Amino acid sequence: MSEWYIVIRRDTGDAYSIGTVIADPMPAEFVAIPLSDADADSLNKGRGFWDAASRSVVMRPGSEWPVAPA
Amino acid sequence: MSIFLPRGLGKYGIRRAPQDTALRQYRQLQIGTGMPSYLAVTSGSTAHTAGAWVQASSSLASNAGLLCIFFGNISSNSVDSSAMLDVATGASGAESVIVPTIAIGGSANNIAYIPVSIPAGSRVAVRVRGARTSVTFYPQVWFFQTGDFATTPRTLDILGVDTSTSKGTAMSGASGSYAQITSSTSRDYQQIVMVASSATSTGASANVTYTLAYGAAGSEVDQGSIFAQYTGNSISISQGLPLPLASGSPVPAGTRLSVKHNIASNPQLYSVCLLGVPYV
Repeated sequence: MSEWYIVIRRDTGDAYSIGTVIADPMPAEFVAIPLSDADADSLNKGRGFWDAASRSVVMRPGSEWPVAPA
Repeated sequence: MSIFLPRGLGKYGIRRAPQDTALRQYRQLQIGTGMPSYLAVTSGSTAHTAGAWVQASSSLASNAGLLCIFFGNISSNSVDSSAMLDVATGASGAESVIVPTIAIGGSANNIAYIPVSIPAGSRVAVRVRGARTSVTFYPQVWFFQTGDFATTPRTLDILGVDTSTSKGTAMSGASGSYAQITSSTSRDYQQIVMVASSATSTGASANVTYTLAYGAAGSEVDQGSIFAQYTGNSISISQGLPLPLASGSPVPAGTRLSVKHNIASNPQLYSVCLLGVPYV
């Protein structure tokens, strides 16, 4: 299984890109952070979102069940 | 007797549109197996600024010559749900836009067929922006292999959008009126694709036919139509085939493009944008 990354802006922490293939070299304004399987799954299914302040994946309230359409 | 061909036709001849071949020879490049998964794509934290790119494919198994994108859950009743979607290729952190700012506001069951070529091995990603901030949408992306990859361009132009509002061009005037999309195209196009959207938060149910036209105001020549069913401020495109959504004959640079509507009242609530398909 491929490893997922989130690429964020170095200065603000805002998410720029999510994927398994990252730029090499990475542009200086970005930082690539590897995601745990759980965090990648949360982002990819919309259960969680990237919080720029804490630079972490945060679960949406009431997201125990999938948000995405079946 | 003289026969006058539309300007530019003599230069290009009558060419087969890229997706004509796709219809006969298409082979869907699946993402995984079966239906492609919904992508969770979140708009930016500031209105009309792009959110993060989300990977639709890490590496295409084969050349793709046609994209099909389904836009769901963009609409939100009584809320301005203007939105735009970008498509890019390239690794995370180095994305390069190939289809910019398609206006998709109000979409509930909307779909766009996009003739753009993407080489095998490419990573493909999408992102959204709009009036609603930090909202997650769930588009689906299909990739189709076509038989004429070489004649399909790598990038498309968007026409008739306003990135400051994430809207397409609103209709105006009485039923049968034409709304100008551009006064003069900047380069030659082999085809124009129409995408319907909603221009407001106000509910406006209607069955709308949009007809693409070429030519100066007062002497427009109709080219082809799409049909969009609006319920409230959302859109349900009822056409199932790619061709009616991708209309028109070759468009020489300098052509005025407009779209005719058949809306009985409040045409300003309905909008479209155009994708210009350049020559390779």
